[in-house]
Amino acid sequence: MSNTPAIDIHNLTASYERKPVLWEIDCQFPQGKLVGIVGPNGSGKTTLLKNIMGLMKPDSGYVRIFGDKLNSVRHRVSYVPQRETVDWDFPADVMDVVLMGRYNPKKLFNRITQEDRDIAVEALKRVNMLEFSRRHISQLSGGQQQRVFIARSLAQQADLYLMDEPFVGVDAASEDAILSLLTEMKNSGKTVVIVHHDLQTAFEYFDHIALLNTRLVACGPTEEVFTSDLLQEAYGGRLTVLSRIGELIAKKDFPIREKGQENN
Amino acid sequence: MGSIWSYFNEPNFWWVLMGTAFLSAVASLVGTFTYLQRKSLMGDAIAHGILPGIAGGFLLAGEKNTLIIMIGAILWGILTVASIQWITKRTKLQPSSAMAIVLSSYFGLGMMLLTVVQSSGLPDASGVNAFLFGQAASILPEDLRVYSIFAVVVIVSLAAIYRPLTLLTFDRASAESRGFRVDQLDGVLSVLVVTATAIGIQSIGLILMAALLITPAAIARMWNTRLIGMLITSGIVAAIAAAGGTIISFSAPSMPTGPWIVVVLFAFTVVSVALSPHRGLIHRLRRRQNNQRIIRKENLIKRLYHHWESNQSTTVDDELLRESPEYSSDLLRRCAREGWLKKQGGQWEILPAGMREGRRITRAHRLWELYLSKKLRLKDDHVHPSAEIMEHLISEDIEEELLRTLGYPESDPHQRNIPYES
Amino acid sequence: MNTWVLINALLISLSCSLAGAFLVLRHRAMLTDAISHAVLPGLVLAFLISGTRNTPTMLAGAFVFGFICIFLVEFFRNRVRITDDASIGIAFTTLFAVGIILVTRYADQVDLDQECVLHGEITFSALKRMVLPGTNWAIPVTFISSFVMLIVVVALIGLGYHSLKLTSFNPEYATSIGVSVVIWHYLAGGLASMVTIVSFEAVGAILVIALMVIPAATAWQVSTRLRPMLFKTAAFALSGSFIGYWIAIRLNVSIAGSIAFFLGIQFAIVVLIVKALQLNHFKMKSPN
Ligand SMILES: Nc1ncnc2c1ncn2[C@@H]1O[C@H](COP(=O)(O)OP(=O)(O)O)[C@@H](O)[C@H]1O
Ligand SMILES: [Mg+2]
Repeated sequence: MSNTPAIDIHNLTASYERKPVLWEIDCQFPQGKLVGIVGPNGSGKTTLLKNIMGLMKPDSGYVRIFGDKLNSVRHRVSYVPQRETVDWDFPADVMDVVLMGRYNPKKLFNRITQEDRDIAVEALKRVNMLEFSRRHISQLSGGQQQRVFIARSLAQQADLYLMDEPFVGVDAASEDAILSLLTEMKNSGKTVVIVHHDLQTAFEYFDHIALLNTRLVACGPTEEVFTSDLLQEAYGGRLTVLSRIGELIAKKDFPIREKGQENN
Repeated sequence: MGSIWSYFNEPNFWWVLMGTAFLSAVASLVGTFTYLQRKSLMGDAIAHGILPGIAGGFLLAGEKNTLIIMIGAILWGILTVASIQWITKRTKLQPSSAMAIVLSSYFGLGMMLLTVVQSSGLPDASGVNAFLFGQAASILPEDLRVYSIFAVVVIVSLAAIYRPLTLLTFDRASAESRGFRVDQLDGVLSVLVVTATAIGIQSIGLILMAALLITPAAIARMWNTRLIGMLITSGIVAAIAAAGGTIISFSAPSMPTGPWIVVVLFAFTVVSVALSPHRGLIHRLRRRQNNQRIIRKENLIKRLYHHWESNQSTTVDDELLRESPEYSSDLLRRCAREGWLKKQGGQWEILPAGMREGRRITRAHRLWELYLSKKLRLKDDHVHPSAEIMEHLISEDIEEELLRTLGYPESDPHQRNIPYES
Repeated sequence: MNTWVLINALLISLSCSLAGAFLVLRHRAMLTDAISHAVLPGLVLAFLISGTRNTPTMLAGAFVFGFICIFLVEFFRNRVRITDDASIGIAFTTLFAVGIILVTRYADQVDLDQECVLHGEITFSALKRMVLPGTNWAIPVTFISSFVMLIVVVALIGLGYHSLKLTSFNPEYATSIGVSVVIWHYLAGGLASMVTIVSFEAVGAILVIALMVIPAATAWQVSTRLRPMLFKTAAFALSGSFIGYWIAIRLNVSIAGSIAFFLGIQFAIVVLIVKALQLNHFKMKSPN
């Protein structure tokens, strides 16, 4: 394992309808760690993940993954979106969803091979969902749905996993199962980045934490970040200067960077 | 000329003109609420779905009896809404699918009934087609009376539920929590949409009715930020469009009215897209150009201030300025007009106003760098790019707040002096 | 001759329902409404310019306008921030209005009228025939175009199956592994435009919506997996169209109208049966 950070975020500013919701985020996540992106609701955690995964174009800054642009390392990255982003009534059963992890867009004819099936079965075993493999996804509990999502992610056999709020709406048993799985993944050298809004558990779960509230409050090993001052700052509200200048930007349709400087 | 415009002298023409304008305006008022509630396509579904009511009403009456046809349309319209709601409630389908299902199958039923009407040999059977694409010229004054009664009912109902409806439109959750019967209001609004559709059928036709419910509201939204203004604008737009369609219908009787109303509405849309304040394309383009102009101008004066900082000299060689990336004679002239600069010989002199401006920009830049460094904990070599742009945006009161937050600092992260007015 | 009309109706309903399934799954059913209206000016202009009624020219004309419609919708939504459904409404009513004006204005040159625009003329679809080379079978031209369309639709769905599925179910995930949601969104829309255009003459602008949306929505009620759902979609399309056709002939009413209506009835019956079964299931369970 090299010392290249798994994720390197450089001066990233991102906005919706011209109003910035993330300001100049600049931090690195080390490899082989369980990393938490922690902050109150609406603090921009999901937005940060979306920018890392190229689902949104930032107004300024860039992201490097394993020192490279996303497109050249995409096969090494697995993303687990928030559970609410999918239509759980979609006609698919548990196995179908997990097999989606085996889909390779570069291949024209994607026949599902026996090997793919074996990998999917293995992934389902690891999340304890094999017995449900032919059940429709709407007939699962929240925790089970989350485990199916994680199984799909495992089936991708990536090196870096990004998960958006995997513990929301999940029963205690599922939470324990998911957590021990994540630890296991970390121990086998994978990097796991989790978006999480619950402070109580964050301290126990993560090795490394990025505290977020529209701006980066702190980023580092958990013991260093979990000081009452920093937590107070992250959960104590927004910075009025940022909100006011954000409103001005939207109102005046002002750029975030000078022309041609968007990557700085 | 005379022959084309001869209908201007027909009293009937003026009645129909005013009538269709009034009816369309009323329909667009209802449309404004559905537009704001993001239920625009509901109007389209209802308009198509009521065809069986119209054809059925015709068959029942045995002639083109406007009142019976209206009642048939309204009843079937309510059935259409109820069917869509039934599907969304009973199945996992979303409103969009439910609307498409109901719209198309009821329209199919309507088509079946229309073939029955056409082969029935009833008088006026071909007149039913007027309901599909509109035929203003065929509206009789007594029809107008019937339509208008319904239109007045719509206006009165809208006025009666105006306040709760407004609350519901802008903040559904709070309307619910304050104890308004939200589903009842929804129901009333649906009935109003149905009625609005029914009063529009003979002027615009039901196929294009959706345009009357959607487009005036969308246009009005581009010009207004308040509901009352939106209602007035959309009413006026719809009335003008309907009048335009009516005039065309009288001058070319074979032409249906509806499509022309839609074309006039689209012309309004294009004009609004280009010209409206805030959202208009031209306005936005101008705003962006203006931003760039401000940025260039302020960068120039900042550069001159930095020149003064390092040389303590308020004059700069024209030659030297030419080397800077911001240089343009137009820009210099503009700075001169602001009273920032004065040209003397081959030299530019920075006037006191220019110095103040340069100092202000420099101060804003350095304050922002310090803010990013202190409050966002950005590394010192990462703060510059953002400050390069924020220096142009930081207004007086934001500067005041920055100063207060940072405790009137002396120097920026790069140990450069933060200049104040003495 | 009636047999050919029926076969043509069945072929069209197969293509439309399969192409429409992916819009229904994306919750974009009303897009079929927009597309089916918006292609009309393209058809008319293609007539006027080429002077013929052959399929490739019409396809080209309608494609251009299908594209204009999608472009207008995106423009209104992204540039002018008109709400999504209102953008659709403005774009398609305008294009349809232009089409109707053209149809009326050039009624004598264009072999189309307002009525045909609304419910097609499937009864005449068997009139023009061509002799199959090497045989003496006279086959209606429309049959051939409907058949080719069905093959194209099935082939495209087969090729893009996984991407269509992925981008419908979970667009964020699809993007994260490098499948372009935008491209597949346009392809699904393009497929729908194509079947609309080829079916337009037969069933008209509004009833094609029924074919695209209702069978898929019906099949969804009784499916837990995508592949079986597509087969059931095809089955419901066939049965609904057959019943609709048969009743139209018995009652001597609009064939396209009747097909649309009975697809709707079939949907309602399936929903009621599913609900009744679920209720039963519930009742049998609850005492324990
Ligand atoms: N699609 C969107 N359009 C406009 N604003 C959005 C959108 N998505 C999120 N936001 C806003 O951006 C902010 C950050 O959202 P998000 O990243 O989802 O926060 P978190 O995941 O931390 O709860 C919130 O204030 C939210 O309202
Ligand atoms: Mg989130």
